[in-house]
Amino acid sequence: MNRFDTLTTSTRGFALKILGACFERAGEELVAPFDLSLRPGERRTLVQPSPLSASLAARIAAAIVKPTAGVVHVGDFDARLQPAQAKRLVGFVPAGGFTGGPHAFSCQIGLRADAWGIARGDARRRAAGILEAFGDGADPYARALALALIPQVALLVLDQPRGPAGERAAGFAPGAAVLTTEVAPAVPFRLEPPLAAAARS
Amino acid sequence: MSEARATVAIALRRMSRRFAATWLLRCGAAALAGALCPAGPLAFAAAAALAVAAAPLGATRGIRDLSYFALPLYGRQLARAQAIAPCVGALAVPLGFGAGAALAGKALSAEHLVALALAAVVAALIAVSAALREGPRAWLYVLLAWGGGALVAGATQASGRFGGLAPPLVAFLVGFIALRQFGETLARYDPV
Repeated sequence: MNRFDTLTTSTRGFALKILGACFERAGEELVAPFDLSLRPGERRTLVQPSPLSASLAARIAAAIVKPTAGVVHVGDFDARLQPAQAKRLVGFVPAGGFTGGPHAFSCQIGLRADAWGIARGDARRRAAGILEAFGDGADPYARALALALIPQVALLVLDQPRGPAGERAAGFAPGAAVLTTEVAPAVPFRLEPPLAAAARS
Repeated sequence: MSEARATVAIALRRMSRRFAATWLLRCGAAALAGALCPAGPLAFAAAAALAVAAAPLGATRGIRDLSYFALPLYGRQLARAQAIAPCVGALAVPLGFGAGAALAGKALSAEHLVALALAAVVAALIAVSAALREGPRAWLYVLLAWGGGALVAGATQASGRFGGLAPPLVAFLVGFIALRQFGETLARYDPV
């Protein structure tokens, strides 16, 4: 059951503001509650314990997935109540990048141009310009980045970036806030008796 | 304006070359069935069964693609755009059957052809919701799709002064509810 929360602090001046966002499915907590705020031009990395959690957290920030509880604001828009306006400000690069063929890539450019109301020629030129910077443009992550940056975005979300495209992504969106998700498996916590006590016995 | 552009772009994106090949194949098979089917009331019943049964096939393909969920559209807008391709796909069997029967000299009446097309479209509109569900729930929507299509086709049996209007009215009502429901489900759906 989703819980509807309200954001009581101001979102003015923030590209992204997340308060207490978490994601549960079938009683299992896939993303633990987290807070995050990003101003334009800022970069942050969000570390999660598994690839699924990292992808979910990235999608929550990109207004693609609604959190089970908590609030997500992209710019001034509530991602739950105004998802279309929120998504308009976001460039989302999925983990693994874009793996479709050249025809599918061309179709995606047209689709994104039409959805954001951009001239198709301009969209193709922008995507080609980004791909040129990565050589032959065969890197799936570079292709996904080129698709994400067809519109002018205020927030760029990079889900588990890889390779040169992940490292240089922020350079293609000057002024945009950049959120990156990464995976770092949690180290299990082990409770052991203090050494001194053990020595006494 | 950009919503209309996005709707057309999504519909065209889903109607790929593979979609066209499948459509033509289905249309050809239905034409053959229409040509071989004996004339009379049995022809309409067979055509309706074929059209409604085939409508959910492939209707759910590609709906869960993550790239659609990242577009700046509301659930209901995405639902309208996503529903166009399955509806076009569902028309293959009624059109093929009608053409085959006409070529064999056993043409169906215009009223029956319209009812067939509407039944197939309604079945497809209900079936798309199966894409966002798993297992028995998805199958339940396929069963509902067959039931909805059969209801529209069966409405041709309505008698009285306005009996001819029954299939379009039933199709509008059931189709509208199905599309609304699909939009609501898409709006709530989380692509995990």
